[in-house]
Amino acid sequence: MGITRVRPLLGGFAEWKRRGYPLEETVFFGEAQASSK
Amino acid sequence: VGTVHESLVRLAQHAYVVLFVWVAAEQLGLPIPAVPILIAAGVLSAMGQLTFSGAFALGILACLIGDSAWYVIGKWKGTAVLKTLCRMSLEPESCVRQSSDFISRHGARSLVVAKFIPGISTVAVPLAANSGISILSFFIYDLLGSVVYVGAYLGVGRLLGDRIDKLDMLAGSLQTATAGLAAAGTVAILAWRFHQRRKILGDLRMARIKPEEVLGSLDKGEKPYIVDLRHALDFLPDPRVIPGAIRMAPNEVTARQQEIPRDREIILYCT
Repeated sequence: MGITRVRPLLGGFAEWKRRGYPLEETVFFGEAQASSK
Repeated sequence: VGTVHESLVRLAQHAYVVLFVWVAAEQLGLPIPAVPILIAAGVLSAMGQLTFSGAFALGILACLIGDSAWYVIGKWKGTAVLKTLCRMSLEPESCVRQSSDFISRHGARSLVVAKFIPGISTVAVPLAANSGISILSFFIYDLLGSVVYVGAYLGVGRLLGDRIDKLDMLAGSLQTATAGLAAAGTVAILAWRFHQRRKILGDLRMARIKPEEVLGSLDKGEKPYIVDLRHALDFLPDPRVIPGAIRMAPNEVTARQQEIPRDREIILYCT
């Protein structure tokens, strides 16, 4: 089955941050990082 | 005969100026491809209208001047100038990331071949400067790159000119034909770049999702699969993500495609 829909975020991370929308901290596992839920 | 000779001398002098200005302008980032002009200069050298060594030296000098300017700007302004440079040269902004990966893999040696690679050629020098390459390394590898770039296209033109020279019927109108072909080649490359850029921007504009739509989706409890594609260098200054986003470097997407769900909307973001 193919991927339903892929959409880039307009303005990227910078625009999301500029608007004061929520962000969450991340935790690091060496080279790889994953988001903390 | 004297008047004809004078005209040819004047034209040859003019051709040197055109060649120099054109190549320097391309290297400074203007969207005017120098390849047709270099090939045309090679053809004219075969006809004795230019000296090959003169055209070669001027072409290299023009490259070094343009690249040195971007080396200084890259050192001074960092990566902030790169998006402007991509827009100015009609290359997609994605060229910055491609070039960054290319230069981090190959270092200063990347400057030897960068001029031949569309997209990378434009931003290679300021990126290399920003990555800390010393001025001596820059000069040596950029000189090598300029020699290879100018020499290759002048050489192609010279070979073409040598063949055309043997056809007497073309020889009389060679200058006009060469100038016409160089102009047509330049216009064709420009039109193609402009069309590609418009197409990429158009496709992106249609497909993009607005931040408020993503926020609304999260508020409603929907679970779009959000992927943070920021480069490590961009991520480290602010290691936070949009809620629920997973981190994935752009070059990991293929290897990690099994992790990507097939039944959810995928939202990608970078810087």
